[in-house]
Amino acid sequence: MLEQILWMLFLMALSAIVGMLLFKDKPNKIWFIIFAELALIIRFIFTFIMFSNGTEYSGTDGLIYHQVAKDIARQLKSGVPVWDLKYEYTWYTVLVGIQYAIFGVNRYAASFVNSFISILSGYYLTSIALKLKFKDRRSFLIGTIYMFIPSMIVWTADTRKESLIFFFVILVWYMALLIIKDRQLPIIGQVLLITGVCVLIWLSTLLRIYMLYTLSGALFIYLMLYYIKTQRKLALIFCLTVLAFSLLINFTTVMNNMRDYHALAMDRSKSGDEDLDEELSSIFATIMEKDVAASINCFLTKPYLEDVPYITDIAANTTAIIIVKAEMLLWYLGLVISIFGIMHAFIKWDPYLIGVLAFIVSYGLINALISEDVPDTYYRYRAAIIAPMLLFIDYKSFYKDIKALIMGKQYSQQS
Amino acid sequence: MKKKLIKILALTVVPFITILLMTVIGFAQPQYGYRISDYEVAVSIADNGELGVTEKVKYSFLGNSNNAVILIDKQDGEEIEIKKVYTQIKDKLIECEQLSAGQWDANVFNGTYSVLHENNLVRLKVYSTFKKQQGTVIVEYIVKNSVKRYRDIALFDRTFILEDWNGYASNIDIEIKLPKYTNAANIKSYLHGVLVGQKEVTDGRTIKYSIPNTVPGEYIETRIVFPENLVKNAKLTAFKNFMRTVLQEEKEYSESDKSHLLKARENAAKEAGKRAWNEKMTRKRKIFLTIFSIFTSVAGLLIMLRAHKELQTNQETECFELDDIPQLTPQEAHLLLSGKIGARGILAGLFGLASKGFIEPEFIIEGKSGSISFSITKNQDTEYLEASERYLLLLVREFADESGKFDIIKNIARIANAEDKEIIREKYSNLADRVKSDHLEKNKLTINQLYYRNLGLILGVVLFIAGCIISVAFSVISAYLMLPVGFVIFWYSLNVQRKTSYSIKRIKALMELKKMFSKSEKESKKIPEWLSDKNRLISYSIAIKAENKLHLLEKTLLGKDINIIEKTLEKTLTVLNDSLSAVLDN
Repeated sequence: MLEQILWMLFLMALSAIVGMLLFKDKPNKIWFIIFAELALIIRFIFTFIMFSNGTEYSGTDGLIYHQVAKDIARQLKSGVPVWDLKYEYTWYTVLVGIQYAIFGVNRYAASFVNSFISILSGYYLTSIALKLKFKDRRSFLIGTIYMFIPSMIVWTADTRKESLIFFFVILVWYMALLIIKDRQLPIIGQVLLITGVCVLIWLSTLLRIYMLYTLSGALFIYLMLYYIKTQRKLALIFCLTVLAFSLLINFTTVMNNMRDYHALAMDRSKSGDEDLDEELSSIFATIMEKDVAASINCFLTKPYLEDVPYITDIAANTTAIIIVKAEMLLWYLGLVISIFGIMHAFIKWDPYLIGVLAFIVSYGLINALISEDVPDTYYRYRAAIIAPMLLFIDYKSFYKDIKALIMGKQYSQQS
Repeated sequence: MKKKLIKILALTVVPFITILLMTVIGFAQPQYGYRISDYEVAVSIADNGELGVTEKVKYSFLGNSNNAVILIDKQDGEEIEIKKVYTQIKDKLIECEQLSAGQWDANVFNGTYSVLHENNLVRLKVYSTFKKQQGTVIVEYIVKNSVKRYRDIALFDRTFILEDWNGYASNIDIEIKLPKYTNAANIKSYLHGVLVGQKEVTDGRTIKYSIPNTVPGEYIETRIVFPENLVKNAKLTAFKNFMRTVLQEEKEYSESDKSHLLKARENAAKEAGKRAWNEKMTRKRKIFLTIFSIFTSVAGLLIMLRAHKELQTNQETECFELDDIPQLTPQEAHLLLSGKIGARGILAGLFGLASKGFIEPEFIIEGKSGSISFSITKNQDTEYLEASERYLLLLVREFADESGKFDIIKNIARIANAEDKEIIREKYSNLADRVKSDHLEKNKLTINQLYYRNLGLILGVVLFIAGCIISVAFSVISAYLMLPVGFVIFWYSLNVQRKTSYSIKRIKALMELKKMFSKSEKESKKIPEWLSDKNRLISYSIAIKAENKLHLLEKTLLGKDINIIEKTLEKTLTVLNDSLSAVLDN
C-alpha cells in the first residue's frame, strides 16, 4: 500500500508541475490544475475499486496486457535486450514490461501512470485550444470536460493502451500546431519537433495499425491547405517529411504487423494464413459486408440509450447505467453543436481545424467499417475522437459569422 | 435579467429536448435480445446416471453482444464439466480454448470461451468472429449425478431453455438416448413450460422432443421416467418408490394455471407487433428521408442555378475594358483576383499611392538583401482618394521616420515585440476592412441578388446540418448528398460578390492585362497608355502577380534597373508575406 501511495503522490506532484509549466502565463491556471488533480484522484479511486478482487483476476484487455508485461519484465531481467523482446498483442505491453522490470510488478502503478498520461492529454488539449486563440475560459473548459468524461476515466484507469493512444493523438496535433504557429522556434527545434511527430506516428501505428493513415492523411491535408494559404515553405517540408516517413512505416511496420493485429475481424477458418493478400481480402470482405450508413450511425451513436443496461461491464449497476446514459445524451448534444463548429472552421478556412476534422472523419470511417458491431466496442474505439471533437463544440462563432454575413458586415474573428 | 434567464433556459432546454426526441425517434431501435433459429440437443444417458450432452445452437441474432451465451441448467448435487466448445465458421468447426486468468497466451479474441458457475446454472460465454450478429456454437458437456435413481424408477429431469433466459428460440429438437433398450411402454415422457410441443418415444431407447418455438417467459423442461435397472451403476437417490410422486406432480402440473404461459405468448405477440411496426416505420422513414434528401439537394442546386442566372442579368450592359483598369485601386484589383489583401495588396497599394504622387518610392540595395522605402511628398490633397488609400497614406505617415521616410521591411517585417505585432495586426485588419468596404460599396448586389445570396447562405447551412443529422441518426446513405450540396451552396453564396457582373468584367480585364504582361518580348503587345507611369506599372504588376514579368515589357519603361526592381520586389514580397502571416497567425 505504501508503494501505491508513493506512486500516487509522485504523479500528483508531477501533474501539478507540468500544469504550472504549461500554463504559466494564464491567470486561471490554479483552478484548472486543482480540477486536473481531482480528475487524477477519481481515476486512482476507480483503480482501487476495479482491482478490489485482486489485480490478477480483474479486467479483460487490461488483465491480458498486465500478464504479457510480467513476462516482458521476466525477459528483461534475464538479460534479453529491448529490441529482442518477444511480446504479444501490442507494443504497449513492452512499455509496461519495462516499468515492471525497473520498479517491480505492480498493476496499480501501471494504471496510475495511465491516469497521469490521461491528465497530460487534458493539458495538451487545453494548450491546443489556447494556441488556436480560443478564449481562456473555453479552453480550460474543454480540458476539464475531457478529464472528467466518465468513459474516459474508465478507459484510462486500467492497464489498457487507450490512455497512450489518446495522448499520442493529442500530442501529434499539439506538436504540429507548435511547429507552424511558433515563429520563434529555432531550426533545430523545428527539426526535433518534426522528427517527434514522425516517431509518434510510428508509435501510434504500433498501437493501432490504421493510425498511420488517419494521422498522416489528416496532417497532409492540414499542411497542404496551410501551404496553399500562406506559401510557407516550412509547411511543405513538414508535409513531405511526414509523407516520406509514412511510406516507410507502411512498407515496414504495417506490413509486418498486419497479420497479428487482433482488433481486425479476420477470418479464422483458415489456419496459418500468413499471406498478406489473404488478410487484406479478409478486411475488404468485412468492409463490403457492412451497411456503410448504419455502421457510421453505430460508431457515432452506440450504445443507444436502451442498450446501456446490456453493456456487460456495467449491467445491474444502476449508478453506472445512469452515468453512461447521461454521457451519451451529452455526447449527442455535443455532436449536434459540433456541426456549427465544423461550419465555422470551413468559413474561416482554418487549415488546422480542417486537418483535425479530416482525422476525425477518417478515424471514424475506418472504425465504423472494420470494428465489430458491438456497442461496447464502438464506445471504446470512439473515445479517440472525443478530444478533437471538443475543439468543434461551439455554436456561437458560427452564429456570429452567419449573422454578420446576412447583416452585411464582415464575419467575426476567431473567438 | 429575466430575458437573460429565458435565453439561458432556451439554450439548454431546447437542445436537450431535441436530443431526447431524436434519441427516442432516431436512435431507438428495439432491443431484441438473443434469437436462436435452430437448437439441437442430443443427450446420451450412461448407466451410471451421467449425461453426455451435445448442444448445437444457431444464433440468428446475438443481442448486440460480441459473445454467444448458453445457459446450462444445474440442479442440486449435479456437477457440470464442459468438454469441448466449437464455433462453426463457413462449415468448418473451430475448437475454442477456455479463457481464464493466467491463460493469457490463448487467443482471447477469437475462438475462446469462459465458464461461470452460478447458483442453479452454468453460464457459458463463447467469443468468436461472429459476423452480422450471427453464429453457430456447439458445446459438449457432461452432467454428473443427473439421473435420479429410486427403488422403482429412474428419473431424468432437465431444463434446456431456462425460464429467465429472455430470448427467442425456434426449431428446438431434443433427442435423449437411454443406456439400453427397454420396453417402450415402460418409458414415460413429459414436457413442461410450453403450450405447444411434441414428445415421442420413438423406440425402446430414444425419446424425442420437438418444440416449434419459445418466447421469453416460456421454458423447456423435459422429464422422462424409465426403469431404474437401466442405470444400475448410478447411486440410489433415495431408497423409496417414486413413481406415485411423479404421477402426482404431473397431475398437479397438468391441472395448474398456465395463464403465465399464455401471458408470455401474448407479450411476445405484442412485442413482435411492436417490432414489426417499428420496422415498418423505419422502412417508411428511410424511404421518406431518401426522397427528402434527394429532393432538397436537387432543389438546393436549382436555387443555386437560379441565383447564378440572377447574377448574369444585365451583365452585357456593364462595360469595363483594359483602359478602365486605373479606375480600380491596385489593392482592390488584388482583392478581386485573390479574395484577400495580404502583402501584395499592401505593396501594390503603396505603389498606387506613389503613382498618384503622394509618396516617392526608393529601391534600396544592401548587399544581397534589399528593401523599398517610401518618402512622403508635398502633395497631400487626399480629397479624391478612396477610404482605403487614405488609410494607407495615414499609416505611411504614422510609421515614417523624422525625415519622412517609411521603410517597409524595417517597419513591418522586423517587428519582434508582441505589442507592436498586435498593433500591426489591428492596422492590417482595418486596412483590409476598408479595401473590402470600398469594393462592396461599388459592387452592390441588387435586391434579388441579395435575396438569393441570403437564401443560399441559410439553405446551405440547413442542408449541411440536415445532412449531418439525417445521415447519421437515421442511417440514410442518400442524406450524405446534402453535405456536399449544402457546402457548395453555402460557399457559392458566401462568394457571390465575386460573381457579379462588376467583378467578372474587372477580373476579365485584369486577366487580360496579366496575359499581356506574360507575352514574350518578341510578340507584339500594345501597352495601354496609362501604364507609362513607372509606379502605376509596378503597382498593377504586383496586384496581378506579374511583377516578375516586368522585364518582358519594353525596357524604356523602367530603364536599366529592371532586374534590380524585379529582385527587390520579389524579396520584399517574400519578407512581407512571411511577417504578415506570422502576425496574423499569432
